[in-house]
Amino acid sequence: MGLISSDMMINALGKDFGTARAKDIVTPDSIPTVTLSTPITDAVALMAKEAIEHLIVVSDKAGSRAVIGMLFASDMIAYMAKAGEQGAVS
Amino acid sequence: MHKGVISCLADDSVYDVAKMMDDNHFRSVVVVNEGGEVWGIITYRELLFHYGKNLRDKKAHDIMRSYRIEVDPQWPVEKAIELMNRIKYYHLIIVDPHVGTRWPVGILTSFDIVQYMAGLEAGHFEQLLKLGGNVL
Repeated sequence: MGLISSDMMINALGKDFGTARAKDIVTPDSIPTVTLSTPITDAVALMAKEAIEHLIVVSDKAGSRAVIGMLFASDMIAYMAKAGEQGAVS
Repeated sequence: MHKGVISCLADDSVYDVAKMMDDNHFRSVVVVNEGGEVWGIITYRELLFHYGKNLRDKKAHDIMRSYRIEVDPQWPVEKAIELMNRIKYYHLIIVDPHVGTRWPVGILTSFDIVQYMAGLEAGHFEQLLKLGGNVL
């Protein structure tokens, strides 16, 4: 499993994009994943540490790595702004 | 290309910065001095480090990344790509050197370039700026 971001596309410049396949750009498991039970604080810390704007959310069932969805930095920023608006610590 | 540039002053709160980003759907905010010249940049990453903290207690200059890179809007896009790959930073603030001040005229991100690659063959930042519409 992997993910291709715009940063990775820029890094891959020079490849023939007309013939290149996704596997030529993505590094398998290069993008850290979280599960549905990962605390949001851990997910946000992971995004900040790895300088990425999205995380793949995978199943937390034993033996399964099924993709459940994506977590975006923009959603986290929106949450922080709304929490700050309401006066909550965020 | 981002539609123009959103900017804040160094003393604006981090909460204000987060709200600007959220309201405008921008991935970065340029921090400018009183004269409107580029001083630093705040991206999602700088903000995420402050998740769970009181955003009103911190100022933009507390978390911004200093920005001293000169990117001319006349550069070919390829030169910007080479710079991004070399410095591993994918938000370039475009400053027009012919104006004489470091006023930001646009922001170029890797996402903009990927969009550009998908739709155009060659050009300069100014084309991207025009594609983006208004600039500050």
